[in-house]
Amino acid sequence: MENQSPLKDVAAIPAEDLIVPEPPKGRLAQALDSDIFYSWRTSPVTVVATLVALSLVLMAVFAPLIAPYNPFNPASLNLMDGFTPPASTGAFTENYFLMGADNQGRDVLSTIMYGSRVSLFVGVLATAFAMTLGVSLGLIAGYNGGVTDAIIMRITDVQLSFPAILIALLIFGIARGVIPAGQQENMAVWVLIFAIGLSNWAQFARTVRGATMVERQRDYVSAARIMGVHPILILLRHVLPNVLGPVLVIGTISLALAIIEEATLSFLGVGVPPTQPSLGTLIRIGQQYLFSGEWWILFFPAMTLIALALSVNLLGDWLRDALNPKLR
Amino acid sequence: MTEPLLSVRNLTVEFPTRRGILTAVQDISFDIMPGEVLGVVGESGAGKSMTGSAIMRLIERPGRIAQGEVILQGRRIDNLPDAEMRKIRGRKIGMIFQDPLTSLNPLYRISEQLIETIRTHLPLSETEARKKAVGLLDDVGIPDASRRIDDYPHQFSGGMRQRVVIALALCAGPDLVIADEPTTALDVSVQAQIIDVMKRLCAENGAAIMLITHDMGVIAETADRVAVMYAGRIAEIGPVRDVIKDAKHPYSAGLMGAIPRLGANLERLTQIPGSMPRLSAIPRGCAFNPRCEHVMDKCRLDQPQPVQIAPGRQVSCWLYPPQGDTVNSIDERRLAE
Amino acid sequence: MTQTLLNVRGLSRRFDVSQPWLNRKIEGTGKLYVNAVDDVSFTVKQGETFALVGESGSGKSTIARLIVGLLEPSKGDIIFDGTSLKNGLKGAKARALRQRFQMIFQDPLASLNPRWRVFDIVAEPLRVFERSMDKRAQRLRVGELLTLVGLAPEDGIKFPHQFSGGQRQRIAIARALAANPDFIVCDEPTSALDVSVQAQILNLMKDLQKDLGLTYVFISHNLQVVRHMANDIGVLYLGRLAEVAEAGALFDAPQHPYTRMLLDAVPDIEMTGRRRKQVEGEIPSPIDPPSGCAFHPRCPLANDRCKREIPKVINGVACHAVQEGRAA
Repeated sequence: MENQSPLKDVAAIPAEDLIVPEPPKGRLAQALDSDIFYSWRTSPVTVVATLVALSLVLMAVFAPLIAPYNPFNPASLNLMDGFTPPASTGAFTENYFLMGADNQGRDVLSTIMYGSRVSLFVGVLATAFAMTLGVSLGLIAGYNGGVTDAIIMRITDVQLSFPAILIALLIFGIARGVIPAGQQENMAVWVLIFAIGLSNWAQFARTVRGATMVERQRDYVSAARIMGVHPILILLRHVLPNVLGPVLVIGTISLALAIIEEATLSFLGVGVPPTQPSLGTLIRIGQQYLFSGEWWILFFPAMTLIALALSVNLLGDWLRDALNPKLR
Repeated sequence: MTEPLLSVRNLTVEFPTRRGILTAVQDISFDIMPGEVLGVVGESGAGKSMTGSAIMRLIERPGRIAQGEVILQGRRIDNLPDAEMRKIRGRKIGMIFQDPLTSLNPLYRISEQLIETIRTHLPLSETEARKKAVGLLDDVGIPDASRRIDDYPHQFSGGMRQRVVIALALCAGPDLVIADEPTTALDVSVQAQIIDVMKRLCAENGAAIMLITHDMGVIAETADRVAVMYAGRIAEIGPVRDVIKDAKHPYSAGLMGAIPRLGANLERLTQIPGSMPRLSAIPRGCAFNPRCEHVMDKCRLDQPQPVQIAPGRQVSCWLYPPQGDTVNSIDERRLAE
Repeated sequence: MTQTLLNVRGLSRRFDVSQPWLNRKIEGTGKLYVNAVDDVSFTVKQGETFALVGESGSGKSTIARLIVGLLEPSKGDIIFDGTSLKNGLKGAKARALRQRFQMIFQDPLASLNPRWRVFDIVAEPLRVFERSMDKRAQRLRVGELLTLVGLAPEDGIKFPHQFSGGQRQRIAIARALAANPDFIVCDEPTSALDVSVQAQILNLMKDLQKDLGLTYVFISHNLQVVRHMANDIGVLYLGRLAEVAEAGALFDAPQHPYTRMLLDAVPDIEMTGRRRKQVEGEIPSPIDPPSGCAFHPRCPLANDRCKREIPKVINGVACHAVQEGRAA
């Protein structure tokens, strides 16, 4: 058996045959054939949940285009339309109210569409903020260990022992005191996003810290360390892509929670200002009239809120099972 | 002519998946004589562990035995109801797994685990069973057995735990012990001890051993005969020394050549190009044909059947066709060139 | 006359395995240390392979990590081509030095980032050490490397999980060779591979060594593999060197009782049915090692001095019996 010289073999090959080609662009076909898509389309609950969530999101995004009426334009309202029952026309304006009209003559269907907009806006941004903050702190804590880890984890522990609503109320109260009165309405939504985000980041931090500690031991991280790659680059380019799986799962569930938290705060009156009502505000308004017979003002916004939170939650459940390697 | 203790005939194990049926073990047949040590060697994915699990009926769903028979002492055991099979496991066939840490329940003392197994299969009282258990621990070489029997698994070292597992496998006096990679997780010096214990005890109790491993060195030291598996099929069976010195199947020959030895420092090890195919991509005909240097057209079309070329020696390769009219063995071909 | 590339002197590494501070105070126990590596010295000549052999607890993997800088030594020094590595590698001089050594790990799946394409994995050393290389030059070099290790340039666009264990190890070798190192530490590179694949990888490593003039430090527990690969061998027991010798001499005439016992215990296919001496005992725990010579509880030649005094390495053997002429 003669000795082989790999170097000589390679030197004999012309350069054009040695170049690594570009990666293929068509990933869609590959994705459709994958195990995850299969597990999605064979689970009826998940498919329904995805469709519901998707339609609610689309409805919220395109609200100005598809809402039958603009409920926040005072010129188009008439108090005489107030309390019109569902599927009937208004007494004064002859407008058709599919889901009835509220106390001020606003079309409930339209208010739901616009309200979902606000709810989703606050929910998504708050979750994004919580995710960024939580994942960053989790990466730092998991990679460095020692004192850094201990400090960050104690903060997380403290934060998790407070109910989210209390933290949000606290932030809100501080904001009320700090921000001058004139600005408060404009800033309200952003304060709300900040408050809800700040009450939800701990779960991300915990999970990412655990996953980082596992990945940090692995040889591919050691290989990068031997090369002298900077720790921050190692975290961002090596570790982060591998810990994102659980983050997505928690993200969807956290989104559902954020939406409900916003609704709760708005219900309590400390959330969004009345000029930009969210689903929570609508529920608060509707609650006043529930027992006097005008049930629809509460019922339809509440159903929308439930549908939104539930479908996002179910999506999160499916995602967790689909991404769990042990169950595959 | 003694009857075989265990007879496996045309055994096939399949796993239905959504992408088709994967065949983990394809149409294998072999015998184990009472008291002998049969080594089953193969690389990962060859199906050797699957064979052991199939004999014990421990295949996880959705895998199943698609065809074939397993006959123990003249009685078919592959189609028994679960309750009957439970009586066979432990009593007639003992099993030793690879990882001693997970074979023993960490929450129970050794005494409890041993006594439970003994009393499941033998009509002994608590005290009698305990005496037997202490005796077994003594046999496997655990010092101070009467005191250590009350320890928990984590209080033993790896080698000691594997001895306990051997004791557990033998406590009901089985006729066959299936050992699946029993020494792989152990240090080299401990491996030798465990092999000695296994051989000695099984010889004393008249039990046969089916030794499943990827380590040919262990088989060389322990087994009487060896079956070489490749991609779910048996390539060759024969006495250990014969297969090592003069392997007939091209895969076995390549495998023996690829193993580094303590003897001479060779320049290069025999290299078989490519690697074992995945279960979803087993080639048509002989599974080894893409990598075989003696490949013929027939090899790409038909799967070779096992042919007995000498007493106790069996090969599945088209170089040794059944009717034997043109015997073109490796040696004859070399002479012709 | 080949020059010495690596000089390891009195290398020691201690790990703190004490209970947490609170437990220690309550239980009144002191700190607990494990001497994973204790006073190990050896030299490696350029272009040759030095093997470190041992069972679990021998410290061989720790030494590998000490050499490449993943761990810092508690005592002793590592001198690479004249430069001391004791105080870690910092600054520009460090980068030039880092480029010269690389590591290949045991588990081929864990040593490659599962989310990166093979091209990115193999090109990472190029990005770190050869920053002036443009994208096209990188693609050419990676293609060359992949062909060199027996793969194809098209394999660069795939992900690690699409390859078998042997192929992944080839990718790891390609990555190790990317920045033209002259020194590679191999930590059990074939232990996780099947026998026939192991043969391919070992042949490849030998060919590359001859072609590129590489120096290997080869860590293994498998004596047969070491026999095939090494020029010189060091045998470790519980963190200390038992014997250091040229490969042929070690296998033909082992001197230390542990080496003899090890060679006797190894199952080898050449030696079917040979008679062997019964092996005594098991490896003691590194947390509570025996006094004096760590091997004395299992040694047939142990005397009182062995129980008290740790033997020093003299003429390549650390054994009182050998020094006193008691070993046959």
